[in-house]
Amino acid sequence: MKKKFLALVLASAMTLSLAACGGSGDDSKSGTDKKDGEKVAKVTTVMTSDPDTLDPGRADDQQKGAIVLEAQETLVRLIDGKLTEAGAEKIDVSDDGLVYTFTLRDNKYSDGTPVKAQDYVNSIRRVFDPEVNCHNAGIFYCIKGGEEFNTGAGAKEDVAAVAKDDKTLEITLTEPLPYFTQLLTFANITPVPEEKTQGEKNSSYGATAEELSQSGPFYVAEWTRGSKVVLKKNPNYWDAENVKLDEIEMLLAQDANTRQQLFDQGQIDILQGVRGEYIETLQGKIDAGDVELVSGPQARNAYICFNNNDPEGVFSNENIRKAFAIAFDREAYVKNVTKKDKAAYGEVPFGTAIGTEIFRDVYEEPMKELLEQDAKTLLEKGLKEIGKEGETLEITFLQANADDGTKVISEYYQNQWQTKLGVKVNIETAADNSSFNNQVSKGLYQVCQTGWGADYNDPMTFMQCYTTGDGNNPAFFSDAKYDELVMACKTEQDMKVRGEKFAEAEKILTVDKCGISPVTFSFDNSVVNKKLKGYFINGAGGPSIEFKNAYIEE
Amino acid sequence: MVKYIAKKIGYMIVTLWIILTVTFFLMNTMPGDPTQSSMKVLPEAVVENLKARWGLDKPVTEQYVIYLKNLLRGEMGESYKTPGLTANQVIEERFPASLRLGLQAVVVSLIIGLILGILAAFNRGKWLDFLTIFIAILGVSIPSFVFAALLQKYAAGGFFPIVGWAAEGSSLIEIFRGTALPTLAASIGGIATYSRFMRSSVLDVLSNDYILLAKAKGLSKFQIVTRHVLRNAITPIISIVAPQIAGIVTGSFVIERIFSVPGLGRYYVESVSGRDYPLIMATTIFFSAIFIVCMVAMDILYAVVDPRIRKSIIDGK
Repeated sequence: MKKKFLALVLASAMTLSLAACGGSGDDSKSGTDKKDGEKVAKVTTVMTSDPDTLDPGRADDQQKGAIVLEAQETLVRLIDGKLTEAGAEKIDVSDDGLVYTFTLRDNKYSDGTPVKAQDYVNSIRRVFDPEVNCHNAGIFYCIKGGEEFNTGAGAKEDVAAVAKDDKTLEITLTEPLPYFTQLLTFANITPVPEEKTQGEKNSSYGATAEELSQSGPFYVAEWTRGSKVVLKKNPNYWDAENVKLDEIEMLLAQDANTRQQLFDQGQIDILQGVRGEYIETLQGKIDAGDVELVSGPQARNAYICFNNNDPEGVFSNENIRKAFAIAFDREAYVKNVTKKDKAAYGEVPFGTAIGTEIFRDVYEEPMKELLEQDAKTLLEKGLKEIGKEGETLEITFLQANADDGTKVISEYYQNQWQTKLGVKVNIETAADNSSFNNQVSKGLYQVCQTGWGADYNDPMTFMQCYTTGDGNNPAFFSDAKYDELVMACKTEQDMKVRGEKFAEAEKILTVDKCGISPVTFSFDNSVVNKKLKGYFINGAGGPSIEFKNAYIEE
Repeated sequence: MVKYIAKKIGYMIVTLWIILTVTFFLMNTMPGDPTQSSMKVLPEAVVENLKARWGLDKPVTEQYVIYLKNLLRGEMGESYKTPGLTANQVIEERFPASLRLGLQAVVVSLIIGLILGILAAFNRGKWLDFLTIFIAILGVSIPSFVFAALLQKYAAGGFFPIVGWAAEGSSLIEIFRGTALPTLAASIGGIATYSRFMRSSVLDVLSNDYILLAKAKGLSKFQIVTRHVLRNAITPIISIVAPQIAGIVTGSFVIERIFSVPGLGRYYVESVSGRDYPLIMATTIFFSAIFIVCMVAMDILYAVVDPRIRKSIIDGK
């Protein structure tokens, strides 16, 4: 009783004191604190998942990327969203577009040892090393010898990344990929000294912060698994004079409500991926200018995935696919169901660049004309073609899990199609995401909703999946003309020609053949402490928030 | 008595073996495998290589034999998701936080729950009794995560952090700061259960003739409570405490997630969705072992507390 009473007294005292000082004045709070007479510029943010390793070779999700890309230096960095020379001060490309020569800067690791070209070579080899098991390896198969080493058919010495001397790195490609420099913003290609990854260490490097060699603007000074990561300014970084923050603290908060509490009470300075309902609660602070609302596109889409090889023989029919694509109100979906993102009428999301331009600024979304057609007529036509004329069609929609959010989405699909097309829609639930992926990749479904996020900032990342036989083609879409157009973009250097080809291919995929039907493009809303300036929220590639040039405004 | 304990431990090992066998085969029949836990599909040759490295290319029965052999040597394998991190290490690193949270919660809920229960029973029909019933109903009907969110909103942010578990070896005040709210959130269900049980248990004992005798002997109220009432009333509580201890030490996943407690609960859940086989096995075996140990401890404790049971064991064998 006494203990509980004490806790209650303490709790209410805290609440009162908090109300009195408006949530400020706590030592863990971000901002600038006096310490030994010197000001410490500190930003606090959250981690939405607990990183299992900080090995650059294994940094293959957004959360790990967000940490590793602050602690390591890529050859090129996205500064304000633009590709900028970073670890390399000069990049020379051979006339045939196959050989890239990088001249490295005089950069040093946080422990003071110099970064050498050999360290980049080691990291590139490790991307393909079967022992490391980098999930992004497939993206780098454009580097000669990579695929062979990764699949066990070649040796690491045959990977065509060579250190000519300590400061010169040469990479040879299998084909003149026009977007190769975009791939260099990946956390996977950051220097790792070879002596750190010998023997057993090859697969276990990065399990603790102490063993890491860190070449970035910050270094991981403290990593408490399951709790937090503290990054400190790297004094040996080549561009240290332009790094203004002394410390970035990343608190683990996997629960969305916990994250909102942290932001509400001013304990974190920036929170990404907030929903509409939460923004409404902050409207007062946003209007008063205490909190800044930043919205921007994320290169990610969600789409209706038809099984073009439908075992039931329904969605293998083009007209039936079109009917289902049309009988779905995308605007009402984003407004009432997901309450975030924007309706999609094409495959390539906003925020995806083609060369120096944004793809969607130049090429209009192709699907609007399709949606004007009559769904019922198309369905009847399709049913006739598959010999089911006059029958009530019964189909099964596969949902990834039984989460509330997923269920609401599936039921919206069910409702739309049942009322607009007069078909019967059954919902089947996969045990969890892993079984869902398994079932979909094996083609054991009729129709589902899935999505794709950009691996790098070029339309290719969204288009390559749907070429015939690609491992990431869950729709089993196959079209000779589409394949030809997309493959041509792998070597075509003229960005205007590439853009046109992509736009044509996009129309085949989403309109002419309607192999898949996009539903939403992701839009991220972030709320930010007004004092935080100079940060940049990346849509595709780079860390999700770039803090290199961030600072706290007094 | 020794024979009795030995027999219990024997059963315990058999139960564990059955659990691990069933889990092993169930795990292998789950659709999906560790190479498919992310959206990205790996090239076939890479998948083959990985399977060979993890020994997943062998028949399941052979994998089972290998697993048992390693387990007997005390090795539970290396995580697929984090190479270099063994299942043993995960348990060593993460269990202390879960254990601390669980034990603190049990102690807090026992102290508060038992006191409330006793007070309610002695004040039957008065306001304290109604208050206890009210707390019990609240505690049972409000899920702990709702209570946790309320605590974060109204009690955290000042002295108590919203997230921020105190590492082992911190000062006492730091530990109190970091663990008070999660502990309170995790103990609300226990407080409700114990106070209700204790109340009815005490009422039951109070109606016995020996209490009347004790009163007649002229013993003080305090002596009656400590010597006669508590001793008799606490036995039924033991039978609910043991499974609750196991449950709270192992099952505070939700609380751990909300308060970012670096505990084992996360691995218990995420290893399944990530198909991290060695960790699925390790956490299942470990948690089952705790549960079974608690049950055995409960049986033994019964014998210690209740001379009648002790006698029946000795006579019976």
